[in-house]
Amino acid sequence: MISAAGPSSAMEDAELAARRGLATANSVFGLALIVMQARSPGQAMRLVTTAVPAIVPGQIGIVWHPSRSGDYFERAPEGVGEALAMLAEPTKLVVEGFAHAWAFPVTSPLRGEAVALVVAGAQPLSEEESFLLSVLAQLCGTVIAKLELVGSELAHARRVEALNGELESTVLMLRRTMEIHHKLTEIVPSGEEGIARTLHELTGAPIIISDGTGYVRARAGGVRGHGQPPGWPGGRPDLIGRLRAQHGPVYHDESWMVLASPRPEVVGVIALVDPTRTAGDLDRAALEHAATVLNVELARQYSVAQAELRVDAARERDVAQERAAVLAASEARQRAILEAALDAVVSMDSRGQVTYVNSAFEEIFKYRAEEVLGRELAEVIVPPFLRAAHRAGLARYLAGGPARVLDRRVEITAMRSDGSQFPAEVTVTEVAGTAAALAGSRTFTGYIRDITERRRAQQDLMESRARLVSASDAARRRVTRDLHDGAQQRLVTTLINLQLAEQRWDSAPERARELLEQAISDAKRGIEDLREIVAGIHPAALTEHGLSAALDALASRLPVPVRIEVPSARLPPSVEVSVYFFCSEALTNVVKHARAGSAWVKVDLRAGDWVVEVGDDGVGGAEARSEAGGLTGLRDRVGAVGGKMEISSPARGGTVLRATIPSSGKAAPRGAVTRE
Amino acid sequence: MSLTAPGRHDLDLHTGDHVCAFYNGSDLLNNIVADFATKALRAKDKCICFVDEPSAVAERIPAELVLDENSLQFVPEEEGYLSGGHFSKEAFISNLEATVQGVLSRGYDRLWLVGDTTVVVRSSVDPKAWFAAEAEVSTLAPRYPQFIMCLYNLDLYDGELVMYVLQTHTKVFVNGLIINNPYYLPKDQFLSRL
Repeated sequence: MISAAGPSSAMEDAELAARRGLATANSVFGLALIVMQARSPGQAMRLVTTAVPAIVPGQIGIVWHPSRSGDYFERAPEGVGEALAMLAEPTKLVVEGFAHAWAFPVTSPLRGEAVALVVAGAQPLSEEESFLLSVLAQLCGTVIAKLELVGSELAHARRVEALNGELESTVLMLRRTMEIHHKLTEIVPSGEEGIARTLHELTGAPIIISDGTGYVRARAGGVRGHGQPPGWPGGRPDLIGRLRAQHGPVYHDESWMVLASPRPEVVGVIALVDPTRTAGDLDRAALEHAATVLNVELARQYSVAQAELRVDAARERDVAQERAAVLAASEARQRAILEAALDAVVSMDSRGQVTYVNSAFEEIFKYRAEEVLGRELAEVIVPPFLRAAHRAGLARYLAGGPARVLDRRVEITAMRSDGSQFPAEVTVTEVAGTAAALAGSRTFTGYIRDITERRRAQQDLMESRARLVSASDAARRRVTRDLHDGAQQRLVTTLINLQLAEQRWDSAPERARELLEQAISDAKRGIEDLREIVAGIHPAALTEHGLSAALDALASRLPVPVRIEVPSARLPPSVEVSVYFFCSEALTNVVKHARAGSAWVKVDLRAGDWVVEVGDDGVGGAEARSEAGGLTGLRDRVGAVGGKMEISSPARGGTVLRATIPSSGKAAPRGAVTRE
Repeated sequence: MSLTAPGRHDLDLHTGDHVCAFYNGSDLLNNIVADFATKALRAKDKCICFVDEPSAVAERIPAELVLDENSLQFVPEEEGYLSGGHFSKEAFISNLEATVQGVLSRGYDRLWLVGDTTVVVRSSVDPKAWFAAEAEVSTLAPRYPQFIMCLYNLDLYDGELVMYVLQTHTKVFVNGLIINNPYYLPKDQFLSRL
């Protein structure tokens, strides 16, 4: 605040006032010089209003607007605003609280608003003061206008600069984009690998191209290999969903990712690895362009794949038709084989219902096919006492249990249509790979053989073996008895007589001679007994001279004449023995039971088997019973060497026993001899 | 911004000048101080800067000009103006005179002294005392081979004080030029108005 120093005289006062006024005016113009440097209307007006007390002591300076407040002015009080709105030149105002008030227009010609510098105080303004303030106010208006112009120009310049920058950037971007476009378009024929490599060259970043499942199809720039990259966990569908929704790069897992999907089911993802997130707009533009190129590439691959699929489908259709024809032929052959099979064949489904039977089934079980098809197999051929086990076994197997009867031979009891039961051998298999199995059903096929005859043969064999053992035991006992009672006694008597003859050789030579003769006689009888015994076991003539000589010797001891017709050549030893004893026992029976006048023996080789016939002209009527006439023993002996025996014995028609013995090491007959 | 308009060397500084400059913003402040110091260093004179952010000024001065670490000296405003923690015209003037004498005694031909004055407002220095000192500086400056420039922030000083600034400096830096200040009042005349 400038204070006045009081002069002593009126002249001095006038001179001092003039000097002060000059200095003040000088200072106001100096201030005006600085106000013109103001950087804002607010700064300019602040410099002016704060200078008012220095210019006109006791006064204050205010900036008013008729109707509103702003950044450097206040709204004028009620009643003053109207006067300010019409303000065109310095005007005196009536302001409450102030004795005097003047308004100086500072309106910027650019704004067209009536802003005014208001100076108010207790004292009136002098003319010079009013002039200085008016100049300051006008200067402020000019400064404000200049600042607004400069501001507008600056803003415009900044906009132009920004536009130039944008234009330059856009040109650069366009050039770069064209480069990206050209490069990525050029590499389309080189596929995903080329896209990854080119995008890496354009951006410098590692690139990964993967499919919808995350399987890596191509890499470039510091990443290697194919397959599932580490650190790419599940949630892939979520990522694909985000990429579809975004229509642009998405930052995920330290990479910028874009989607290429020419069809919903064809998906490719390009990842630009950017852990520091420094990829620029051009990098992302290149990434998006690469996605477009990949889109085209995937569409091409899809089209090629579809065409190949159509070709493959046509080819597969042809192959399927060919296979169907082959299968039909195979099934026809199989059906023919099954129909021709001697075993019964029956198929059932997983419900246990019969789906197929062959002709042998009909014959064995006495059913017609139409009577059993669709019926439960258990009711048809399984005896009632086995049905529960059969059903339980099927259910257990279908539930995943172990197969106890599948694919192996088992012997069961089967039942015919009339309820009769018979032993059967069954093999059950599950038929895999059929159309029925593919449709969810399962098929089981059983091969059933009636083993009644086999069981009977087995039974006969067992009985025969028992009889052979029994006969062997009896023969052993007989030999033992014969040796004890016959030969042994003769030899003992011979030994005693020889000892007695020795004792009496000197004292009673005659008696000694009689004893010696007796011993010789007993020894001969003993030898004869032994020969008889040995002949019953294995005749020496058979071993030494063959079947013909042995049968001759045998016949010579019989009371009935026997005609013998046998090959002159030697037969295999086992055959010779079997034939000899067969003939021996048969001729013994003739002597014992036939009351025949004659008998005959004929041995011949027919169709690889030795056929032995022993006949007589006796009473006939013989029966093949083990306890009758020794015929069963004969049958057992023949059966023991794999042969079989037939008997023809009509009443009063004689008897013919015919044994057929398989030839082993057979000898071709060089002729035959017939003896009476 | 240069202290001298291109091709207008006649308006350059002269020894004994006491210049005031008004600025808006620290960028302009630092440029003015750096230009002033650069001119001093090119003349191989001593330069002292009363500024609170010396690094912002130093980085604008060509490093090759700073041949002697003593030739360019930065002094915080508070230290430069408020000796003992408060402003005293007598102490300030005394220090100023001692400084220039010291510089000259160390062989420099001239002293270039430039100072920002934000501390005056920041520390609420009495304007009358301050501008009385400024008026005294205008009489002191011509007595030694020195150039003195005072910098005033237009955001901190109001219109009345701006007029005092103009009345106490013999030259004014305006629109990039240093011109004779037509609004300067001799010390006695100015002091008579306070």
